Order: sequence, then C-alpha cells, then structure tokens
Amino acid sequence: MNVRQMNEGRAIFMLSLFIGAIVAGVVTQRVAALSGQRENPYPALERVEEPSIGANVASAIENSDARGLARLVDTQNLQALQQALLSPLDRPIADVRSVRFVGATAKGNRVVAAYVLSGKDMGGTDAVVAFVLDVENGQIVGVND
Amino acid sequence: MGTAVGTVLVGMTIGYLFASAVSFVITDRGLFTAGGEPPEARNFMLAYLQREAENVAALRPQQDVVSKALTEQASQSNAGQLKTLSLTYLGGATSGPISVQVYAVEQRGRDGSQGLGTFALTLVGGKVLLVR
Repeated sequence: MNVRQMNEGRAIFMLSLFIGAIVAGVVTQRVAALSGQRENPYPALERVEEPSIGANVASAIENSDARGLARLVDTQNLQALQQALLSPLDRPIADVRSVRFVGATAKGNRVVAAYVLSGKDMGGTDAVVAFVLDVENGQIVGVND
Repeated sequence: MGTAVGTVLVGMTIGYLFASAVSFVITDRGLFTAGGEPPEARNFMLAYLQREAENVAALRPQQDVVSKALTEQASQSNAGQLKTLSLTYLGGATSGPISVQVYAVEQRGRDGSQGLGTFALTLVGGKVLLVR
C-alpha cells in the first residue's frame, strides 16, 4: 500500500465520519425536540373535508368582502367572529394577509372547521389568529364555541 | 485521533443546527414535526383536561398569586363535572414567535349531555398566552 492509497483511505474514513456525525446531530435534535410531548390518552375524531360555507366565509374575510360575509353569517355569529379575530393584543385585524384552512372534524351533523388568519392588527403589529367555525346543515351556527 | 473527534463534534453540531433551522422554518407546514403540533400545546391541553392546575400554571406566562388561586378554584369546581371523550388536534400555524394551535374536545356532562367544543391556543415562547 503506497502513501497515496493511505491518504485516500483516510480521506474516505474522515468524510464518512463527518456525514455520520451530521446524521447523528439531526437525530439528536429530533429526539430532544419531541421528548417533551405527552402521549394523548384520548381517542381522536376523524378528520373531515372543509365545509363549503367555511371556505366561503374564509374567502370573504380574505377578500374584505363585507357584503358576502353579512350574507353568510348571522349577526350573533358575526359578533362572535369579531371577538375571535382580535389579535393577542386585543386589537382588531386591519390588514388580512391570508386565511388558511387547517383542519376539520365532525360529530353527528356538526362540523368544526379551524382556520388561521395572518395579517396586521390596528397597531400595525403582525398577528396570527385562529378561529373555528361551527357548521350544521350548511349553516354557521357558532364561532369558537 | 484528535482529528476524528473534532470531525465528529463539528459534524454533530452542524447536523443539530441544520435540523433546528429546518424545523423552525417548516414547522408551520407540519412536515418535520409530529403533525406540526408543538409539545407545549398538547401538554397544556392534557393538563387542562385532566385538571392538573400546577402543570397548567407552568405552561402559562408568569402569573400573580391571585390569578393562580383563581385557576386552582376553577380547576376544582370543574372536577368531576365533565368527562373528556376525545381530543383531536385540528392544526395550527406559526408566525415568528407566535404560534396558534386548535383542538376539538368532545365532553360528556354528569347529566349525560354530550358536546363538541374547540380550544384555540395562542403560544408565545412556549407559553400559552391565550385560550379562546
């Protein structure tokens, strides 16, 4: 075995060691990140598709379509929606950047659909807010209930 | 020998930092964590539903003694009133230091009435700032 072969062998060994160490670092980070999570002892309900009225409400909010929103949601639930859309600093959202559906589940004929709104509040602070629409028979029957 | 140890340490550090950075960037999409659900949010929901006042307080921002006493009272007054039947993580999102996470909880009262409620948690720095 000459010197060149020895150097190649050593370089391959060091490279393998380096790649293996990177993988070990990634695994360590994931184990550390997830080790603090408790097991959920309760069963979870099945996820369902986004109800169409929920999609329409989300679209109306995203497009600042007040007339459309007034047609889709009654006064009581509009007031609940207004409360639900306050930023963590209790300010109304002035500029809606996006409204995204994140998931829904159902029990009987009641569907709960969750959305996340991001934008800026009246103070100009970036805000992210979650709200949940309760849907029964194609109608909004509650917000964050 | 010293070079090999150094290579392992540098490699592990790079791997750890890389995984942390990727996790931070794409947690919002739920591609790199357990369904995108932060451990603090699940721990808070379980502590809340199982009326573990101390664990709930540990996951809330620092509170004064009166607020803690009120939480304790609320926890005791609800004890035995509701039985949790299911806990479903619906999803969430993260924007900078703020994270919002949504759960659906099915509960049954002593009178046999059953209901599906929702909890929208707002977390900042791993603490539950708001429950709506």
